[in-house]
Amino acid sequence: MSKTMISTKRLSKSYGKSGQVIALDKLTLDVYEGETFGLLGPNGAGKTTTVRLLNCIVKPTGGSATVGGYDLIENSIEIKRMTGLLAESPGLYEKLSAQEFLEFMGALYDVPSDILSVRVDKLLKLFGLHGRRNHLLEGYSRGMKQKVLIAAALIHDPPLLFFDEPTSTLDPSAALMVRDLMKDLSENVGKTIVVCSHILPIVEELCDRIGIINRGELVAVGTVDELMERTGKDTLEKAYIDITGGVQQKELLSWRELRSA
Amino acid sequence: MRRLKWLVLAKNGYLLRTSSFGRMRYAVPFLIGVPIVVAVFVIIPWIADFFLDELEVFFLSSAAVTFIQIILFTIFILFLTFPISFSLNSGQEEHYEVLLSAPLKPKDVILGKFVGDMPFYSVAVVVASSLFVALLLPLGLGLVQAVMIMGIFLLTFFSALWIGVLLAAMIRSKIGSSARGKDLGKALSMTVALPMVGLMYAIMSGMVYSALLDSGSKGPLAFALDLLPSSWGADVIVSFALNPGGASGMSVEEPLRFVAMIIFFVGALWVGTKLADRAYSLESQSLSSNLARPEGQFYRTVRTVSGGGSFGSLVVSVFKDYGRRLENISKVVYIIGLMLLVTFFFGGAEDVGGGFIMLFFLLPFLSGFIVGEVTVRGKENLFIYRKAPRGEARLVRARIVQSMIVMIPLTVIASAISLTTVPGLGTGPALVMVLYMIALSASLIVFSLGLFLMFPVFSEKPADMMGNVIILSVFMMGCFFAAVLLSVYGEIAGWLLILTLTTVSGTIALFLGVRNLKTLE
Repeated sequence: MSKTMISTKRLSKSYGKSGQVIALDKLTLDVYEGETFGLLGPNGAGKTTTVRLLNCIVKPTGGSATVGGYDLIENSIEIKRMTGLLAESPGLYEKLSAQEFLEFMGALYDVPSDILSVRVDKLLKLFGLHGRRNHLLEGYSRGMKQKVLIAAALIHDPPLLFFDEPTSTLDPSAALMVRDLMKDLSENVGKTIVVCSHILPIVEELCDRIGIINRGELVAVGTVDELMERTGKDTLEKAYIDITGGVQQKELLSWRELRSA
Repeated sequence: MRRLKWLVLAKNGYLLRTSSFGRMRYAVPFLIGVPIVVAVFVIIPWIADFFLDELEVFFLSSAAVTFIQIILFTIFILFLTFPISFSLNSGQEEHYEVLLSAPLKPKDVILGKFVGDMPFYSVAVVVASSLFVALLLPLGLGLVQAVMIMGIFLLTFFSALWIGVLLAAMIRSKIGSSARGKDLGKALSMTVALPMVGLMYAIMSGMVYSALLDSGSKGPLAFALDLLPSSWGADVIVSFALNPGGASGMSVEEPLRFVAMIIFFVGALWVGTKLADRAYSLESQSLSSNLARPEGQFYRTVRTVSGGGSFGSLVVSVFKDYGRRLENISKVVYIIGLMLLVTFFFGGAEDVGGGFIMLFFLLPFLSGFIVGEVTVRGKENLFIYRKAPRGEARLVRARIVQSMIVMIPLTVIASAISLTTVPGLGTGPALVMVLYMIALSASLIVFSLGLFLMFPVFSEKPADMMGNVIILSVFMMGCFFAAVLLSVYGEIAGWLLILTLTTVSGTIALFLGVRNLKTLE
């Protein structure tokens, strides 16, 4: 049995004065070292909140958790050091070039300068951005920015990586490259990876286990086969829709019923 | 039936502007209108009645035309500049793209914007014109004359607003919707306001008034003003004040001038709609993206001054992102320009205290504009630091160092300019004062950063930033008055009090700000 990398016990997060908006409700979950764990759920289900909590960006309002053996509240600095995050809607310094931004991120994580310059160079080459490394990020497309941000998440080579929608803005070949990169990181270097994505084939291929969050609650967890078996469906997509509830077929075109002349 | 698209857009503009009123939004015109009506027909005539003799003397004097000419000219320039500045700053190309992808003609977009903006800007004009009418009513002004005066103000305003909206669209179109274009737009929005401020100061200092009075109708300034419809209206208003009464008392000249104003506005409207296609072209002017220049001596020095290593890299990164935004440079230029204007129009101090008064009130603006940048890129940007180990502390330190590198040289320049207005000041005391201002600037940087972290501003709109800047300015005013009271114990005690209060309050604000930064969600 592998070591537990992430362990949460009734981890909760609510917003508002009296906590009326519950973003995450009593999440109890274990993710193991070297595992690739997929976090699925509809928009606004609580995936990003979970990722932010586990990266010590926001503080929980209930429960407890450890990441890499460190307590989420007491040892936030150690946790930050050992995690890399590709956020869903990350902030960028648009007036920096890709190279400058990666150097900045490396400095934030105290990567020694001799290692940093080589790593920045190699990451830019890997993502096909080396030729435009001196262009300001403001001129980059969304996909190119996403590549820079993935590179930024890797810059300090952390043992635990969080990827929130890593391929959503990438072209098919870049998406495949990122998928292969995550696979390599997991299988060959032993990184633990948590992926939030709506692109189910990638999740299905990459993830050892999947957790499904709906309205702040973890409603299912298991391997792809276990989830399909539990719901009696033959694909992950159908199992996911069954667990989270989809749109009824008859509702799809109901908006056309009253047609103007 | 197809709807009038410009009306749909104008309504949308109204809804956007009144969104904060919620369900009460349709009552907004009444909430504004009723007090105006009460003021015009009851309060102001009642007050004006007490000054009837003075009013008559004033309108009989040669100063009256000049005075009204200046007021109308100010309205004209103000409403011409404001939409340009606002549009350049807001950079709404995304909205325009949505609009242009809909079945609309470009003239619908520009007309919709004009009509949508009209009710809000017109409040100020209605108040100004009502004030005039109310002041003139006791002189025996007739109803037709009163309506025409209101019309003159409104026509001046409509013409200016229309030209402003049109020019704004054309400039926006010219600079493009690229990131560089947006940045340039924001920078221009600040600098466009500077000549306007200069004009206001020139009016306030009496320079324009004197120039017009001295040259009469023959000077170049008077000739230039005569070309604008605002001046045609001024003559009509004074003529009405001199010959109050019904329409029978009117000569041919007044209605002619009024009609000329209408023709000017309609003509501008017609030309504008013809130009609309060009004004709303969103075609990108250039597809090239900007390159980051290799790190020069300046950044190498910044890195060294910041202590090198990881922290030096952080400061340099923060500095690059700050310095490459024309918008930030324009804010600094604006404050320094403001200082030069004040010195030019109102300069001339008797002592050091007098020379530095202006600086006391401008430094909070300068520090606020430099430091206020810390949160404007949004929470997601702050989360980069939140995610990094001890990231918040590094952000604060990097921002302080970066802001000081910008602010201190500017303080030295500003102090030097201020000291030139103080006669007979020796080098020694001047140097001490400059050093004092450097210390004060440093305290203000810390104070500003604390404030902006306590009350973060997540938008790039200068108006949103003003809240914290006003707090700083009010604080400085309080310090200044406390220092004046303490100066009975000597002037130095007053100076030291200001510095001490700023430093202590700044430290407390920074402590609270950092605490807020750590819990911000």
